[in-house]
Amino acid sequence: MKDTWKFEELVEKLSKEKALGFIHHFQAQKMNLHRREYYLVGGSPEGSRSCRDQVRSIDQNEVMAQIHVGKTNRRLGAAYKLLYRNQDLSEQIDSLKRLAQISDEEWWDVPTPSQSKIEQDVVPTFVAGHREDLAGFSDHLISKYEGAVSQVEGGYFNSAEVTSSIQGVTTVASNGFEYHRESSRFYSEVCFSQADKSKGQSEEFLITEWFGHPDQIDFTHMCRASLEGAQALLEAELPKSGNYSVLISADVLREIFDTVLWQLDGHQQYLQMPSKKEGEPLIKDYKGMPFSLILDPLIPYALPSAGYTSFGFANQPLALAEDNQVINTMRTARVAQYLKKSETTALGSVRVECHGGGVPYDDLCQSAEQVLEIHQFSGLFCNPMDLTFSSEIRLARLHNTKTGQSRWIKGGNLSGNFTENFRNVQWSAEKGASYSYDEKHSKGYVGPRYALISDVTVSA
Amino acid sequence: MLETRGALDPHMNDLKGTLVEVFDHLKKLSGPNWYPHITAEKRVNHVFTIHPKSQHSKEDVTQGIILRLFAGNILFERATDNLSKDNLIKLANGLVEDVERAGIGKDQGGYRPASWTDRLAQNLEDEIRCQIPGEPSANDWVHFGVRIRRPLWGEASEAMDYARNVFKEFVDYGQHLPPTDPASAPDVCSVRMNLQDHHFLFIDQEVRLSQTLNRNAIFLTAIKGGDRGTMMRGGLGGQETVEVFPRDYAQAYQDLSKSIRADRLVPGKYKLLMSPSITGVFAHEAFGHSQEGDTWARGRSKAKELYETRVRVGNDHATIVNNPAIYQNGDEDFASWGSYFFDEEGWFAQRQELVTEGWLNLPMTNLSSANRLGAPRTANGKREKWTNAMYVRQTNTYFSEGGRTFQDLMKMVDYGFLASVCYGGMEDPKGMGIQVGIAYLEEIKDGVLTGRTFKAPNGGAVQMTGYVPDYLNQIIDKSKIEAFSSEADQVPHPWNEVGGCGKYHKEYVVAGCGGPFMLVDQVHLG
Repeated sequence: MKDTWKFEELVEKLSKEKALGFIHHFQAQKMNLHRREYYLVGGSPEGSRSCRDQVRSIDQNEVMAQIHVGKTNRRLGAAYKLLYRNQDLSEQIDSLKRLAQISDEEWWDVPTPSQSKIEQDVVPTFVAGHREDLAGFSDHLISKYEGAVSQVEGGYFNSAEVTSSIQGVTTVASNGFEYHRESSRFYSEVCFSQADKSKGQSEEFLITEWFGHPDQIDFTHMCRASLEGAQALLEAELPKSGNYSVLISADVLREIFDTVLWQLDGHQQYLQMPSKKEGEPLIKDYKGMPFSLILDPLIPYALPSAGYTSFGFANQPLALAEDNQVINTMRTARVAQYLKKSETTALGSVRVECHGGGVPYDDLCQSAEQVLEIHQFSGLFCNPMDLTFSSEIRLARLHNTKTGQSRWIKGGNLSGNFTENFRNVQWSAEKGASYSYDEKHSKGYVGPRYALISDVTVSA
Repeated sequence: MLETRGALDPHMNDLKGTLVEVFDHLKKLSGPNWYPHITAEKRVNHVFTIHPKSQHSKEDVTQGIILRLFAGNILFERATDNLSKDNLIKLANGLVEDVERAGIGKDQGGYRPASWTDRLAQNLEDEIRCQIPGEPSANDWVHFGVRIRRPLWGEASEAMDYARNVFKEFVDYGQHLPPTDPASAPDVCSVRMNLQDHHFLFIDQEVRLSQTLNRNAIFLTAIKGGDRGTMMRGGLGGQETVEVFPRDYAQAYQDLSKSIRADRLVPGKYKLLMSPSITGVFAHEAFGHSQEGDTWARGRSKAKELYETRVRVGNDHATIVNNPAIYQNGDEDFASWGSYFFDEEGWFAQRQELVTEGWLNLPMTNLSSANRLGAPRTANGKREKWTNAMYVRQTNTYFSEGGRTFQDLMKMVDYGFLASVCYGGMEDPKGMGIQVGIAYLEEIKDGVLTGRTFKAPNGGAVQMTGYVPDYLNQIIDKSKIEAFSSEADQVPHPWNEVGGCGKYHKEYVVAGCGGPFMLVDQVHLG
């Protein structure tokens, strides 16, 4: 099966179709992804602490086209399709046009881009040397990981995964904008367990992290955190039911604020889904520490970062809420035209800036009679429709200021609501960041490493 | 009505010749005790979305080949979407280099692939056997296709017309609700229909297999404020899998109404009558994930230790099954959502009991975990798509049926709740914890639904949490498969719902889950 056409031919054909009036606007995109993965399991008692279970290499090269065609009544039809280089290009474009004819949406125009060609993104997302020698780079990473596993003492090593990817994307749009970006991406997970043979108990603690740069990774810290978490679970007890002040960390804040972003997306407003509008309070009856809520697309090596949209809008940090008032919503070019407002940044990491510096972590742990500090949820489910969140508690630490004691907690349900429990939020002075990656939607949070929220129901 | 079977995509058919050549090349380079094999896949997903403001049709296609070598104890893979023979030969050379770089000698290994004789000696469903012609040789390609009673639409425009029509009927139904109904005048209604054509090829030195899975689903959603009512249907087959009826529209609006008027639950321990949807998620998250062989092999499942020390984990009602070979889903006339004919490592689908009356059995496996554990292979090797790794994954997971009717079980509830709509779940294979999300609960008093519904204290989904063995020992009773009939069951398998599963918080695959209605005592809800 040989390739019969090149990407440039696709752009040329789509441009001709546009010039002839058969296509209103288009985007053509080629993507290449190279990835290396290693899976470790526990080694033999006589040998090393870990051994390799799987080794994988992936090479992916995709071309896709998205087109909009004019229809009657000032409406558009849209279609998106992956295209195959070993199949006839004209036939595939015709199929795309047929698919577009059966779709329907309101008319919108592609704006003029601020620049015509971006060869390298303005925000660093790519690690030097990563593409040129992916295998060597990745082999070095896994060796460091294997070293970290063998250095950490105690417990049982269960498993680990390390993936190292480099992705290149070139987009050419019908408004003449051409955009090249490359991004590095790393995933790492590790799981240690501990056992109490006298009680016949064993527990494990899985740590997972996504990174945009190897400097962000500390394998030894991850291994130690996993080991310590497993030990803590052996000592942990069920909580008592009640309402608690709860200390949550950056990874939880990432998930909760992602649902808040959903309601600050102008697209939801257009679809008449639950959404927040400019001028409304972010949180009703808010009395907590003042903060700015910003969408930041330009954080170096953050997974959701990008300097431009595919039509050439230059992304800039966007203040979404200030002093509890919504001042902006996220609007792509399409949504902006539907809402008759200007286009804004519509992707990036959530950045929270607490006014006044924040409260030290130790003080937050002492700021109520009992403070439940969440170390990990079993499976946090956040609902963007009503901003509720809930999960079983996998591991937490309960700080009791009356007795001066703290103890480990596991189990029980935590049932929370952003609009209720964040009403009196206090932010930590310490800073943190957390990212997660998904092909369709990457998430990021940067800001206070902890938030203390109040009156959260825990039942056990 | 003339039945047909899903046919292999023509481009995949054309690929067979190349695959054979590449396999032969890989085999020549491999050590005598290595296990070379190749899988190829093409996943075509059409999604049709109808919303008051827009209608979209999106086609997503991924296609790739994975060359695999199982050598020593390690599985090596190289995957690509460049299907030219030259590239695949280079990839095969690179794969062998990976093995040699890992220091594995040509004589290391020892996995013996199953021949056709071995495979045909297994207990296979008729639906699989009837598609195997005579006694195939190692060089014969054998194709398996899903039974299709009513062919899918030939053109995307026809499928879109169907989805539009369903949307219109769905909206019309809602407009006839009385104004006093909380679900009347919803803010938004939408319909989404997914039509998937998934094609697979598998080749090793003993067999050459292909399969085509036409997997379809339709979702109706009505939204009002922050509340949502949904209905979904689906399975493997043709148009029959996405046929909707007025009762389906009614269900979505009733769901919305129950969610809107829900009070907030006082957390505590209650009798819980689980519908098949919830029973299925419970089975999936319990034993389930803990019975996935790669989790055993990673030392991450308590089930391994409990199996080896013969500790009972449930009472006589606790029988949990994983079954990729459900070709009639409950009383529906098509295969269930999580079914296939062989897994993505070429192993034929078979029913497997994971727990039998409270006693754990050996786990589900894939090639590498079966080898590490010394356990039998089962048909549970799956990946999200060709770019992702192979893991042990569930297919259709369910509790076995009991002998009661739904009304029998209701009468056993002095005070408790009926749970029907799932809202996620999470496993804890090592700690044996469980989390099952329930959109809302319906109150039962003295065997009768009171009409009151409840959500969690935060106004969102209720979470069922606790310790798995406790709950498996607290099962009071289970219904028949046909729970609303007092006659003996006429159908062979409990119904399994459309669903999906993430493993280790990622790696999303389709999975069905279901079972009978099941009554469990002292369930912690909050």
